[in-house]
Amino acid sequence: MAKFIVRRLLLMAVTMLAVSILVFLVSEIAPGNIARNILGAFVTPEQEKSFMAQLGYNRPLLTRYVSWLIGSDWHAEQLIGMPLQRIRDERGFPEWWAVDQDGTLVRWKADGTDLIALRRRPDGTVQEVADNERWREDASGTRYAWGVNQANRAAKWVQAKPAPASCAVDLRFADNTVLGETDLTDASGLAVRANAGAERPGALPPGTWTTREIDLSSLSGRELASVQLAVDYDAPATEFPVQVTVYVDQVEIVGADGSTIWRGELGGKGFRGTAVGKRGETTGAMVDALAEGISASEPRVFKVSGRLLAEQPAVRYSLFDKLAVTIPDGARLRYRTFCSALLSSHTSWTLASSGSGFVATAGGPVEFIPLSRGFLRGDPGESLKTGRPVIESLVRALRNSLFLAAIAFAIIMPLALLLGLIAGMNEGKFLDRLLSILGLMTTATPQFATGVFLILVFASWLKWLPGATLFPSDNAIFQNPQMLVLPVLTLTLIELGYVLRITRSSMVEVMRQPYIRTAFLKGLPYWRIIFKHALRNALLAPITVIMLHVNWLIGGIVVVEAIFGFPGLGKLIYEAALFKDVAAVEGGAMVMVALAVSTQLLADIAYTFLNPRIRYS
Amino acid sequence: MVAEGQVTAASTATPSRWERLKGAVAPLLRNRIAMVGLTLVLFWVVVAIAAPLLTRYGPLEELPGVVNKGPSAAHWLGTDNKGRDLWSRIAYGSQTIIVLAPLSVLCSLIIGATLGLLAGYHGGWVDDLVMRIVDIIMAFPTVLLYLIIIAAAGASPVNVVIAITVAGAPGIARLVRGLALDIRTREYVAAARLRGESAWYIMFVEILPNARGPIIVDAALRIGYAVFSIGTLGFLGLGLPPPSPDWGSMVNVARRYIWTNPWAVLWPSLAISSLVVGLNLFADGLQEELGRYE
Repeated sequence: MAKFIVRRLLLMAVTMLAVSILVFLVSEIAPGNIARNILGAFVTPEQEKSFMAQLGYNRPLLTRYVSWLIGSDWHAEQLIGMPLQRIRDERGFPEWWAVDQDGTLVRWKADGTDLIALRRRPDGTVQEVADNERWREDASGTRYAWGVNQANRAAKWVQAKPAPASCAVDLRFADNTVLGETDLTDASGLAVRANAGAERPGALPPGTWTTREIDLSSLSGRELASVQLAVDYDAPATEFPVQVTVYVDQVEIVGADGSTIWRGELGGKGFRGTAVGKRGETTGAMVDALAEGISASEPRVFKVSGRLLAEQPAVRYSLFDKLAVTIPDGARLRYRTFCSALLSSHTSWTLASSGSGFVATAGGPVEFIPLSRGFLRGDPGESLKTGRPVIESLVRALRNSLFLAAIAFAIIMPLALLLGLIAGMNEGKFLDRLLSILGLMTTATPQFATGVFLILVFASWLKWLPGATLFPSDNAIFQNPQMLVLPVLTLTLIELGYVLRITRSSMVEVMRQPYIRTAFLKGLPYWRIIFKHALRNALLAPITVIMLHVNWLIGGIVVVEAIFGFPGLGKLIYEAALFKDVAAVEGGAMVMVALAVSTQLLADIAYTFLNPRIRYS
Repeated sequence: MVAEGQVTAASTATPSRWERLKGAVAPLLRNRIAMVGLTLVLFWVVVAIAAPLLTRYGPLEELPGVVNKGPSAAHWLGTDNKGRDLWSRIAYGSQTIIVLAPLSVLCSLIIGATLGLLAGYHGGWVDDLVMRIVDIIMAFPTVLLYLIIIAAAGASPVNVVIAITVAGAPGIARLVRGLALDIRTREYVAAARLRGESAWYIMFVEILPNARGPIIVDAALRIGYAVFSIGTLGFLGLGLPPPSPDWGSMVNVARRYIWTNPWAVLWPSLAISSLVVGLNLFADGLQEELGRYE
């Protein structure tokens, strides 16, 4: 018996390993639109690539699988050369830090050509210290450093190299009114910035405007250019807040031969800046038109075109096709243009934590390893949706689902076995036919249809019970038991029929056995035959079949949780699958398969234990 | 000429194909449960084929002024939240289900039977390998398998068929393997081997036809389950993308308006339940008759 169990356990471990490979492959095979899902449709290919790199999706599949299974912290520790530690911040989010020789927690960030160490004091505050000794040099002379960044990833920074650049802007309206000109050459820094302004009294001329060109021909590497148009508005002595909105229609990068290298159509909805000012203040709005160069050596022209829109209480509201801004007497509008270019061989797009979008930084990390402990060490990764570790929601969801399943199981089993035995004892009679047909119908009706029927009857028509479950807190399930009635009833109806039919056929078979006939011929009382001779043998088959049927029950739970909004494992996986929250899908799927496989193992062991023919062979 | 002579000899030696079919179907026609099931299924098959004749509106036609109405003379089953005729949507929705369900079972049958025959006939490491793969896929709860496949591949009719095939093939493989293990010990298989027939010939011409009884019953049950799955996938928003008239997604959308218009939820649910119950009753009757025959 012990040998049998050990062998089955080993087989189960092998199966689970194969399952984990399968789950991983299927859910990571097409992660291409994760970025689009989270960042929206306007994300540029460059931003998408950078985002995927930060999530570690540019690493080889095998490396990712190993990281997911047994964690990536040990690998990062080797690269950084310091032990890593996971702590929790005051909001309960996990944070990864490296541990210094004197026990201080350290993380890093890059600022220009400097690497800055963020040293955490015991009271939680952080001290910034330049840490340029960490730069190493590789064979090709590039200076790099490994460390932990502020987004819980091991990151490889490459020191930025200064490059000279020039930037010129000529911004004018369709009527050839020059809005501003700027020209700048910068040989030292990582970013050049220029701005030129023009002041103009009175109204803004209608029509579209175009910036002529920004010459970025001398930039090297992958760089980023931006043009900003600012409209300042001197608010008169009114009490109203002022709001100016500027839209940019189109951003285009043109090569030296006039062919378009990159074009962004924004349809007037794209880059949009608003600002709200108060009385007496100067207010303005800025628009950034961002684009990234494709190749380094080619001269290119950067074009931005757009329309102006001003909307504010003091100025008459106008739609952006018919731009006619009138402003009160004495007020002045100012226009300014900026030109800036971020120059570095590596531009890194980081998603700002405040949700305000991408922030581009020069000299940012070029390689990322998301830090986790791995599934086997109880950390299946971080949810893309919530930013929290998957394990937390997984444990909560599993508890809720087990609670639901346990109640349903406790109702289904006695009821189904009893009804099945009754049907089996009355084989061929009306009661048997009725129970069998009803059982078939409840089993064959899809779970969602059963759930919907029950909602119609009990919630919509009779108005006895709530039609959905709403759980404001973790313990609400235990406080509002009436919310559980319909989910449990749905599960019961789905499972009842199946177990009933199995029990019935098992009972029918047993009742046909010669030893039952012998018992009848001996003149034993009917109930004694049923209880002493038939029952035990008749229940043997259903018990194992039911356990093997647990996959079906789990499927039912997924659907039932989706119908009623019950916060369980099924709903977690379902919502994660719709959102493409890969870590949550993988973690949830593994737990669910582990549950199914271990139940089947238990069924096998129970069957062996219950069946003397196997036990003694 | 030789081939022709063989055919004539064969047809005189055994009853004609038609007679054999009649002999197989006759007990089934007497089975009341099977007949009830068959009637339900045939009803939906007829509706699917004759949908354009049986409906007055298009399935995607949004009629003004009749949003979320109950049954009436103009709209037999009422209208949905966009003013589309529910009967039209259900009738046209039956077409996709009537096509997709058997198609996906056929796909899993082809893959499953091939794997099962290979495992059962060859035995040894082929058997071990196939059965391990089967075990691994069968360790997944079916709905979970659908969720991760569709989440990775996207919702489309082709992917629905793929998901159901992947989930269904291992079960068929296991069944066919068991049958093949038994049948390969028969004399006629040994005779074929002595004749020098190839392994593929023995698997598909000698073993498979002789294992057809249980496979047919299983396939009939599986078509019911495929309908069930397609409905569930539609309900979970993983089936055919809107606005196609898919029964499951009809229930899902109408669920949001359940307090104002319960009919829009009721009809597609009833449609799918009746079709699945019909297929199950038919398969049950089939099993009973085949069991009696054997």
